[in-house]
Amino acid sequence: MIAELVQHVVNGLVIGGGYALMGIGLTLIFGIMRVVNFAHGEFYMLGAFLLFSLFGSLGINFFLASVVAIVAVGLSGAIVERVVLKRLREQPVEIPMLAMVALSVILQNAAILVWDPSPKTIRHPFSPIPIVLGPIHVVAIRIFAGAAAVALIIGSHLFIQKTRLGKAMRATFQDGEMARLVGVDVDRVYTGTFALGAALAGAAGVLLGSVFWVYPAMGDQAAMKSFAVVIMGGLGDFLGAIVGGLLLGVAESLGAAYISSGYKDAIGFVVIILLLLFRPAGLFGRRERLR
Amino acid sequence: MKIGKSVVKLLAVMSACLVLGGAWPTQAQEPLRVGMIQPLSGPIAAAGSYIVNGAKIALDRVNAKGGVNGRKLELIIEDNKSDPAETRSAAEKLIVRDKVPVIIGAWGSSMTLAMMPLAAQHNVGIVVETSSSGKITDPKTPGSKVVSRISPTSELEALGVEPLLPQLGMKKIGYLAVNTDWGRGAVVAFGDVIKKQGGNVELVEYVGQADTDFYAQLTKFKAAGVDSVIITDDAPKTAKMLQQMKELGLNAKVLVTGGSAWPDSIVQLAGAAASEGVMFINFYNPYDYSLAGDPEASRAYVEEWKKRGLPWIGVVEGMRGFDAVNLVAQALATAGDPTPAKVQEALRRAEMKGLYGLIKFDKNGQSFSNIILSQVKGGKYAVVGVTPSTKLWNAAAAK
Repeated sequence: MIAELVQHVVNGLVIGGGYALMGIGLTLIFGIMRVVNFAHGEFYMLGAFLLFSLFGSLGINFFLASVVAIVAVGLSGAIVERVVLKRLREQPVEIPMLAMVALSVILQNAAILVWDPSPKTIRHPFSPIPIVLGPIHVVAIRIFAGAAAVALIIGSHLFIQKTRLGKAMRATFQDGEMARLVGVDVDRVYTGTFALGAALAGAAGVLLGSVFWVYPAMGDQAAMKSFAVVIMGGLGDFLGAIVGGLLLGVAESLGAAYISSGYKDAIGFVVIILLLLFRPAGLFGRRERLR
Repeated sequence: MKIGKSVVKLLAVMSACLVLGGAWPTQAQEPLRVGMIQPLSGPIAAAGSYIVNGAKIALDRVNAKGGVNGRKLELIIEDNKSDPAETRSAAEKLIVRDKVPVIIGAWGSSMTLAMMPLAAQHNVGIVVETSSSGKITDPKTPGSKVVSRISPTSELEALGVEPLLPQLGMKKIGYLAVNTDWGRGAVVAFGDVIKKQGGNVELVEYVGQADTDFYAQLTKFKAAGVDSVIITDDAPKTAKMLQQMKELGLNAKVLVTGGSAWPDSIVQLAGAAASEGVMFINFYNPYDYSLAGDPEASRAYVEEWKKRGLPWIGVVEGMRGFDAVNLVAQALATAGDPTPAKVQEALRRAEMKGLYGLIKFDKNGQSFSNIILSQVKGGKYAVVGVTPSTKLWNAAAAK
């Protein structure tokens, strides 16, 4: 019984790490830019497909290909910000939102044209034979994905806290107008934020795409989950997104195990409704803060 | 602003091309247009694309032989995005705007069920090529009167495979099914037959259509100590389930129902180690043409599939689209006047030797297909047993 419970929690934490990565990216973009990124799932999908092509088709080293894929998704995020979002900055909030909906449709259909809709498996270099710890089974790729997610989360936290651009991002988050007055290059901050957010989604795609598989519509569900995570954690709350992601992963795993697997997706959303009833501003109840 | 202007110019040129391009075919004889709705985006887009591939092979064969009553046959293909609500919208567009006399579709049972009432309201026939839920041809279901279904129900699958079940020795069973009308219907149908054979379905777990992680469900199976697992889902997800069973150290016999997953697709998607010994219920065998109702058509289909460089793993799924288009072409030819009512009448009276087997329809619009039990043996395709459609037809007639 206990062993089964531990296995369920471990399963949930690994998936939750991916949710957290997605959530952080989304929450950063919303918190700083006030843009609801409906194309977030497509950056996730793009990361996974780039890894598939670089590693699977071109035969580049798996780890190098992963890094290149993540950086490339970040760059494409920067391009989207410069070409699309920058022009829409003075527009009401729904205009950039609609632009992102359009981008999501375009990217997903482009992926169908380029890679065809059939699911692809990334033949990662990790052994498929599980590591057995007593009654618990874990495969190496899931440990790698979990550890890499933790590393990326800590990395982006340090980036926001310590670097010059990170500090500028926090300043813009607190008060964009004021930040501009004291000489922060807000344009650069916006581009950097969107690139970072997209890169984190791409990283989640690289990691979960290796664990599961890669197909053009994979971003739909991932995007839905990351919206859930962000709402749970509080809009714009970095720590909230991490805790929200892990919580959602574990809640789904335990809910599917002990309540009903038919309602796996519903369970996550029931948790959100309960949370919003009792803590409408998210897990930590902070209204506006970026940490 | 320069970009804005050139875009306008481009659009103008494109629309001019469309207008001119559209004007030419009307000078020749008007083609016969038939509707097709498949999932071409979303989680089951791969399966839908295979069916469209099969349908196009049949379409080209029909047109190469001079079309239908001297008119070219055309398919208007709509994407239902793997979603029931979108299926209904697509059907509405095909019926109201394109005025097609018949629709082929729409892969998933929940999707097909969603468009049936609308089609019945306009009295437009539906040729169901894949869906397995018993509800679709149940006379009590709204809209079932316009359905002609060439794919077998889950109940027919269970019936066809029943004689082969004792040798499989499945006792303590965990059932893993997709959470749709298809999966839920199959759980009931197979549960009944398994019970008659002395097995017991101890645990039933469902998975979402877009899910990729099945650890929660499989961990429960492992804790319960099941000796066999039955899976009802599409090929990519079945492959992942098998891999994850291995990852969790769950060793059990596996039977996959539904006809969409088959040895070659699972070996390619899951790898040979995870798929060894797994059994599948299929309706078509691309290695043995003699099993099809029309061996020559079967050979031509497989050869054309290879010639077009289509993914081999899709050949078993694509067969459904091939048969559906051939059946519709035959019905259109015998109907003479291609009105929805006449075509529907012709469909219900049709009899065709297809790749599914002997295709004809009972009073509820249901056809019986060949039921093939296949298995991965040494990483290769093997046949365990076959129940031909003719045998099922005879059994039904004897009742």
